[in-house]
Amino acid sequence: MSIAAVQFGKNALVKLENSVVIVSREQLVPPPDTLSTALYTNNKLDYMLRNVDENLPLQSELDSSPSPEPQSQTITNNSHSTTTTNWKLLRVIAGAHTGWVRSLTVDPVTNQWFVTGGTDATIKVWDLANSSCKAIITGHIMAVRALVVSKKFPYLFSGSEDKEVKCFDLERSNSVSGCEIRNYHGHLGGIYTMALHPQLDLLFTGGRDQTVRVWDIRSRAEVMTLTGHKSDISSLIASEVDPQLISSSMDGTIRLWDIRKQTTELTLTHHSKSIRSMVEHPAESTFCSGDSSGNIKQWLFPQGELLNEFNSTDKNIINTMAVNHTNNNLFAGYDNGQFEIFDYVSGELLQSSKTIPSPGSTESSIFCSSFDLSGLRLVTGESDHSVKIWGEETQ
Amino acid sequence: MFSSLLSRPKHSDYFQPIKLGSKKSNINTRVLVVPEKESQVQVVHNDNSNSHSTLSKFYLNKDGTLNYNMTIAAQASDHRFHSSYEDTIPLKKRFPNLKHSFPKQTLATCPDDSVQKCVEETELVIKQLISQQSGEDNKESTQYANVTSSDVLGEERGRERQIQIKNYQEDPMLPPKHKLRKNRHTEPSPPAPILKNTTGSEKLTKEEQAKWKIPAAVSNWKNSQGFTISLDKRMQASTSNETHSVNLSKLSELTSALDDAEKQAREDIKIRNELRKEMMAQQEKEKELKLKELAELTRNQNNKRRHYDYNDANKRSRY
Repeated sequence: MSIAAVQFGKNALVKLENSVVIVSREQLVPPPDTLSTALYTNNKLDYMLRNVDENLPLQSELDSSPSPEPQSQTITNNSHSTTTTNWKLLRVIAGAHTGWVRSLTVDPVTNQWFVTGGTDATIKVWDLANSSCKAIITGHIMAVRALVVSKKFPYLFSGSEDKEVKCFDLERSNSVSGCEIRNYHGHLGGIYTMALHPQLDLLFTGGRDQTVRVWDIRSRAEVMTLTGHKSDISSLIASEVDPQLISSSMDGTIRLWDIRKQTTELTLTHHSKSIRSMVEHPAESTFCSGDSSGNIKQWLFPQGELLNEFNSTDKNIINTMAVNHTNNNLFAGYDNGQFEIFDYVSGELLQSSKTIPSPGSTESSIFCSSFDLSGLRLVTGESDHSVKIWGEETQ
Repeated sequence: MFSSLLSRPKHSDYFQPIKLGSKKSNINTRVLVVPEKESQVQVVHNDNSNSHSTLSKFYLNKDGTLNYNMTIAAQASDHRFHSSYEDTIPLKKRFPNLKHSFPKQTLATCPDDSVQKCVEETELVIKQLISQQSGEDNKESTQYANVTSSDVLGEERGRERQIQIKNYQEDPMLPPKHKLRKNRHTEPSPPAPILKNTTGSEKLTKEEQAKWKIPAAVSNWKNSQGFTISLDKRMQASTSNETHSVNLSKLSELTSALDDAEKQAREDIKIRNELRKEMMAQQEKEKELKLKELAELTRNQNNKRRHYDYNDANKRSRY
């Protein structure tokens, strides 16, 4: 349902000159089936319809009328109206791993499961609806720090502190011989982050050895090594438009790469502390980076301009960030267990609260987080060995 | 478990610092010299700039300091950079009326073919890189060699052959050839010399064997199981390092004598106990006999009396 929503949304955003989004209403009406009814009952529909000009005629009327030029190119101001959100803990998978939960991704296609990786060197596949463990994938010998699920193939890529990048075939996750089909050898340090090219079969990995390595997924060849960072690489963003790769590092810089020339296109040195997390908005050409003194900066690519600075209340280490594209919220999880939710557009603080550590641990830091595709659930992985599922409480 | 706690890879030199070439000191002195002419910016050419990492031109301010902006701008002709104060102020503060609408350009949504072009170009670059790595395009490196055969193989001499030498393309789908091994550091120094004769092992004599015999460890302070430890063992343990001042054979005799005495004493006690038991049993028997006699006596007396009483009663009833 939700992947349909995402594609639906993509089709709805058509860029005209002066970056004005105008969509006719008929384009937004999906064919009548169960999916569409589900979409219409979904309260997130207003997000997709936010840029629709009510004055625009329907497509059928446009076809009949000789002038296809829209009369008015005004956009309704789509800034988030609510001033606070109320995300509450819905479910705790206590003891999800026997170590810290260090990495997490939600299935980008069906939105039915999510994957977590922990310091116990295992990867676990969980059902998003009933949070039951669907599969346990082993193969790494140290903490699993990065997980990516491909949109094209049924593949799960995992990077670990044992310097190995592995590719698992999720269709064979219950087979006796294991589902590991490839491993990409070459990193000299632990792998902290990974990204997949949206169009090409390329895998970007980065980590402790200060390099970003680009792999050809099929032939396992290390296509290129991008050097330049002076410390561990903490997160990567890959996109199909230039810059095709953005990397953030513990040396406090963000580099936008031109992977055709294998050089840095632009280095952003605005952060004063090491950057642990960087997150891309799924529908916008913007991204956010959070450093370990609690500063969140919003950037605009391809030019790499500083777009906004978020005012967080306290100066804690940001471990993870996640973007809810349905209502434009930015989640930031801190090392001391605090989390804050910002409005992505205005940068206002909407909610600030703390996770409840599960019994047996006094404090719990949030290591990884992700919103699901529908934007109704937030999944976080924490240091109290648990995975927590959050939901927004509606008044 | 945490690789972040490990030290950095030792021989990985990723950071290539910007070098000023071999005439570095020369340039430094020139940097320090304040230019005499009152021009705004002075340009110093770095003659040794050959690689990508060296700067080709330096722009100096009036006071002789490096003008960063211009130097970087001259260097960064191929890429962009942020160097002004304006770049540090967010766009939303500079332009408060800026509308937040930055839709993402993807293959599906982009109106022109710029994204398509970008993807295709990247794909081409990647393909080239992969083919370079796998040795696919090494057709030029094919060599031909003329070989004149000799008598060795039984062929006629002087027969000429042409041999084609080329690199075979590596199968990219083959399993990896390397093996992950840990601690592959070799011993840094040559091994220490062995200072003993290892060729032949001579047979040990009895005295040597006895020398090698290690006495049992016996403590004078700890004996948690409560074993009886013979005196000679105790002596041995307490004086293991020193020479034995006590004659051990005599000591062992003494202990054996003591053992014998103890055994004797135990036997004596046993016999005595048995005798005592027998005596007790006899005494008891005697006592019982006495009691029996007494009982019989009293019974007989009673019988007599009863008989007399009976006769008496009969006599009274007649009256």
